[in-house]
Amino acid sequence: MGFGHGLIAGLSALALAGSGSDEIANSGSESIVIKQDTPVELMATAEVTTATAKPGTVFKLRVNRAVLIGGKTIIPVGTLAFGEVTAAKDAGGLGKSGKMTARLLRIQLGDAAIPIEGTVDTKGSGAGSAGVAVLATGLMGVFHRGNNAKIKAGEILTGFVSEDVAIDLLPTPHRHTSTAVPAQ
Amino acid sequence: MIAAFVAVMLAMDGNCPPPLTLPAGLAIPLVTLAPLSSKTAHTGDPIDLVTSDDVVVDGTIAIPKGSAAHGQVAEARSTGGLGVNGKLTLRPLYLTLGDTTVRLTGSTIAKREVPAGTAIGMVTLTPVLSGATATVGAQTVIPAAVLKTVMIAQCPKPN
Repeated sequence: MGFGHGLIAGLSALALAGSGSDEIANSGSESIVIKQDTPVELMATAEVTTATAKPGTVFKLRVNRAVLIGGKTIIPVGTLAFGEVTAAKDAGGLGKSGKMTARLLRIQLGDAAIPIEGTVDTKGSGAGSAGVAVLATGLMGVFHRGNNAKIKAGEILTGFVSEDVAIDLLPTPHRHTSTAVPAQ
Repeated sequence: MIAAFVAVMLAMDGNCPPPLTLPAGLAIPLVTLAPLSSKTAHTGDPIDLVTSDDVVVDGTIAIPKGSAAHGQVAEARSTGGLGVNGKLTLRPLYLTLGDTTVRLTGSTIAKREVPAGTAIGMVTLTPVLSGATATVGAQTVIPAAVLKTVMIAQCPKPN
């Protein structure tokens, strides 16, 4: 029975680490596990548009709301994050709108790269720029170019941590090679 | 996985029931808390949602009525010229049960109102009349479902 309780207690400590996004792995320790599916609110720091972006274009974001675990800020506001354009179709003539798909890649917390997942699908909308051209018949014509798809600067995106990530916070945040909490 | 194992061990010890499994696709009834309009909303705006009924799994209330959930405006298009309708697309994202995040997905339709029982993706509302703003009143039903199977422990966390 004693062994069983000890086993349960030991596993409970690990369970606290991996049981959810709000638990600190070990009290008094600077090691922590950021659980899979922990939501992270991000903000695009610059516009990403089909006018210039192509598949493979990496763009920057910043953490817009701190991620707290056990009441402690683990990922502060302003932490750098990255996304990648996976598909981009520029706007065309006759009002054809641009389309773009992007995915979230990772949060860079010190030396720790925290993989995140999330996708963004955007489509240009509304009437774009209009150019006036004289048709061969002499009639005035109006050519409407569709709007480019874009992720606007300041736009909020929500990502989710894609796997359990064990991190030592001191001296500089860095990631364990496994999610197991190191022994004290 | 470890939490589930511990919970099972404790259950065998008689201390608490085993964890509940919320399977992917489990319907989660959500409603909006505040009105939204394609005229004023912006893509990416967070939206507050709440469960409109208990979610029961295996005879147990897994998610009580009134539980907070989080969503986002996936697309907000104001009315344009030439009779272009406003468009509002809402995406349920997640809710949190204790220490566990439950990912959500919603419904994709293109109507002015969301009928009950509609199924999954993002909720898109487009007014019937051309040139109109898409609006969502408070307490509008947003059908959602669990995106990924997740287990939730039923035992309170130890101090």
